[in-house]
Amino acid sequence: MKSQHSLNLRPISPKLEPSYAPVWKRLGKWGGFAMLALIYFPLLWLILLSISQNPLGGIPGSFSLEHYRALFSNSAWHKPMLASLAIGVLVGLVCAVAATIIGRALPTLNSPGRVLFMFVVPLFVPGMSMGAALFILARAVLNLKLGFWSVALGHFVWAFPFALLIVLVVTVRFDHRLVEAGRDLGASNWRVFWDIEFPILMPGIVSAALFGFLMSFNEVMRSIFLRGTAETMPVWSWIQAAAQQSQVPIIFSLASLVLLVTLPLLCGVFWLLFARVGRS
Amino acid sequence: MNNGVVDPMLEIEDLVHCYGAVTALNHVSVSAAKGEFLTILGSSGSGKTTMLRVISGLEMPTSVRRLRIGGQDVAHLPAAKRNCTTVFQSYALFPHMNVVENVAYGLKIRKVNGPDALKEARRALAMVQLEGKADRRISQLSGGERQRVALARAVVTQPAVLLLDEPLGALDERLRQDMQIELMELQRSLGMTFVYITHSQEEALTMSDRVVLMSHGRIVQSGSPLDLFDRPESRFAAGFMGYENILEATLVAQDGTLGTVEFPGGLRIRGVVTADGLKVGGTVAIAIRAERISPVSAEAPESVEATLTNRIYRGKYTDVTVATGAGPLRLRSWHGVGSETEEIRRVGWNTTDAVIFAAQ
Repeated sequence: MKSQHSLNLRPISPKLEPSYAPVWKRLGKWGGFAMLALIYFPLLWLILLSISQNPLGGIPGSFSLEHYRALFSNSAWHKPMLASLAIGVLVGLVCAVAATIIGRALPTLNSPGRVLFMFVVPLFVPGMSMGAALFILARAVLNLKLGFWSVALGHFVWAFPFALLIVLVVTVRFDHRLVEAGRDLGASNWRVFWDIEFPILMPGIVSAALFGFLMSFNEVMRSIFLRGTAETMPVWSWIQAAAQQSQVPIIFSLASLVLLVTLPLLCGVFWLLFARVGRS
Repeated sequence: MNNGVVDPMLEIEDLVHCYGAVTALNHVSVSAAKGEFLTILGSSGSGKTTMLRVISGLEMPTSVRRLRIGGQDVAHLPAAKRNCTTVFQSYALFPHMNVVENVAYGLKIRKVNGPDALKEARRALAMVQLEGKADRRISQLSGGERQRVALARAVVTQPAVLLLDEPLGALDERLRQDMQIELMELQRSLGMTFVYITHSQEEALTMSDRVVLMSHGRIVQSGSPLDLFDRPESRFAAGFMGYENILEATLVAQDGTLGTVEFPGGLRIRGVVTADGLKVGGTVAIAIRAERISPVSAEAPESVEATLTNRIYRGKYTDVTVATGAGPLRLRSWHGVGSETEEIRRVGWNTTDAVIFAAQ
């Protein structure tokens, strides 16, 4: 009996190691719920306050649409909103086209990693630095008058890396043998692109456009530097909110409306990119 | 090499293709007649796929004296303008189109109007027994079904030449054998010229009217499947076609195609000389298939003394190795044959089963 234990093997502990104790799983679950609440509760609260009589009181109650009525009878926000929409659409379109052209070329490079890295770095350059840099370039170096055009340019520089990454999701996966198959069946290069490559890349291109629009539509930091005297919608809201005027309640309504428009748009992007692309 | 083909659908003369410093095709000439099933056989790197890409126009050759498809000079035409289509190894079906749209694409490009193109495409799908799946997405099809869609898409435009690039490579054994038969039947019923690329000698022998064996960018031998199987003209061809016994000896006599070789121990064997220009007194190779050798008892005409050295049971057959005056020989006896377990003293074969060609 004794000789059998001469190796002195330690029995395997029936207890799990602390790293795999069940408490972590529970903590992960409840911590996750807490995070989700932290994200969505303020948004929901904002919407509730926007339909309350006294939003600045902080507690929703005696619901009415009076602030929405005030918002729609007020025309002060129309111009900034129109400017933001126009810049957003322009940035979205330019992003989609530029990201498609560059995103199709990038995977054919010998070492695309380094080039991609350089394209993606602006994601991590602080908005203040990028805004200030573009400001200096346009204002001091080129001596140009700032306005919507410089805001749009700043937004494009900001949104392009996102658009490129999104388009790369589809261009990297694109099977170039399909192009050969198209040519082999008699299609010209033009037809092959429009009949085969473009429809397959399309979810990524549309996503890039939508994302470019959203990035521009929400942008404040770069706009502050580059706007000159022009006002975009987020800048206008920020000025109104900071000024603590009686306008504030209608800002809540405006913010709620913007949220209700952008959230479905964002869901659309992810659906296009992951559900649609994944299926084919 | 293949001149004299009547009514040629494909003519290639003196084709050279280089990738940088690598010569993928080295002065190759091939032609295929109308309705012929031509197989280009070779291992990877033999240049067979390059040949296919040059024919289809996906690759422009470094130089070629003549390249014609259906009588039309296509040497300078892009792929889209050539009257040939390809069944790709990867199938390359368009994932965003359903089955019938894939098949109809070539017709759409040729400006066949919508309803006619779809009707034609459905007919092509019926030909490959897929009419019931016309409206499926490509991702819903099995490998074998994708294969058929690729085939239907390529034949629906009625090209002068259909190119097939190892189309059965991705299928499992059973399906591959069924598809071989189907492909042959389809080719006969369409009367279309097929140029089929494969590395499998079994596929080449089963389906082809003519086989072109390639190695290192050159044509090693071309002829009927039977020619390649029984009359290899070189050591490479014999090895590729599965000859288990290839032995070196000295050619001591040649009378027409009948040659006699002598081994160092003095043993003499007769065989069919398949190569030209062999010198009596020179070193040659003689090859015999394992399954053509069997144990013999009496003094059979073509036989040698043998001692059993090894016996490996392989299910359907048994591989036997014997030592002889010619060196070690492998023979194969089918399971159930009486000689399977008995003692072996002599092994023999028919004179026409031994082939003699240059040693290198």
